[in-house]
Amino acid sequence: MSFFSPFQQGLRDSLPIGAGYLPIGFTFGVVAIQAGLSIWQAFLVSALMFAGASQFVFVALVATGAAGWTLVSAVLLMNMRHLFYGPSLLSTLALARPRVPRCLLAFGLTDEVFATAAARSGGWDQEGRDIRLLGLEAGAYSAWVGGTVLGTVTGEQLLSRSDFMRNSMEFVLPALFCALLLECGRHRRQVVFVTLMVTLVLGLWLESYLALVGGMLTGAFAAILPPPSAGRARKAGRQA
Amino acid sequence: MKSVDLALIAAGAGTYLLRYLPMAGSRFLVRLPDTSPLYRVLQAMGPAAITSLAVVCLVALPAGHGWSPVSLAAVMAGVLSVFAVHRRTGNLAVVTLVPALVYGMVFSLASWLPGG
Repeated sequence: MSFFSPFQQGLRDSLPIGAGYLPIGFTFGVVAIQAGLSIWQAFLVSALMFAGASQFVFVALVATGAAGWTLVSAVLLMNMRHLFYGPSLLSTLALARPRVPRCLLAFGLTDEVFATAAARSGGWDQEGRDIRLLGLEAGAYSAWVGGTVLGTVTGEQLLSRSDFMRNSMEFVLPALFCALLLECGRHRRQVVFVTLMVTLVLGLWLESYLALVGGMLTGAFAAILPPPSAGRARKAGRQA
Repeated sequence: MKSVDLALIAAGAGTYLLRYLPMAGSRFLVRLPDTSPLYRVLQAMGPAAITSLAVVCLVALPAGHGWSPVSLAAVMAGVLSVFAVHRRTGNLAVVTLVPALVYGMVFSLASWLPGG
């Protein structure tokens, strides 16, 4: 199998992510300049971290004059959830003969890339799944860094012109997650329900990124529990 | 080099290691049996992460607008249109972009109303 065919398919898969990343990367560019970063620094933050929300926290802390170690620890704490993405994805992809080094695949493993790959890779050809994932990551990365560069250069003028576009772009990533949930959550109702409840409850007291990690881990571990229907079947069997 | 530059390089390197090290140390995963609890947890991590991300993103939207009725209506319209469009097409780009436009339109309509 050639390299380019699955890579192109991956790039195509990345279009919805790119549609979300471009405006958010753009907004990040604007915010970074407003926080006092140079164009070069804003570009480097996106190019090296490639980690949405934590980048916004990084520039917000820069604007407050926070110390270097505070910046680094805030970013790492927020990105701690990424620890679980790689092993989970490797298990889902079940690569027999990997052709892309893991050190390369790891770089682009953002929330949205992981979510898309986890939901859709079941339908991908077994051969070249890692190349398709690389294409997905490359498309997402280009949109994110491209959006940042556009934002740093032309940002403030463009955003002030259309409220409709600014509002619409807010909903792109939530819509992507809802759509992915409809695709992969159907057969995982117990996991979805537990995750939903735990994330909502934790969100009442904790920062959203901590609620996210707590909900995600509790929900994933709920997969070990027997489904409620199995309990009912056992009870019915005993009564019979 | 300024401390901001050093911090952004360290944060970038740290984020990369958070993603790479668990992958590098998990070569045994491809051989896990389907029935093992670890396999089941890892398989469920995707749907769990997606659910959690959806909840956090959806709650953040009206919260960012001070829980105004318009923002709640916009989120509801957006989510309902995800369901509606998803029933019609499996194209993820369409399912993502149409609800985003619906969401934006609710804000535009509200601003045209008297007192909006």
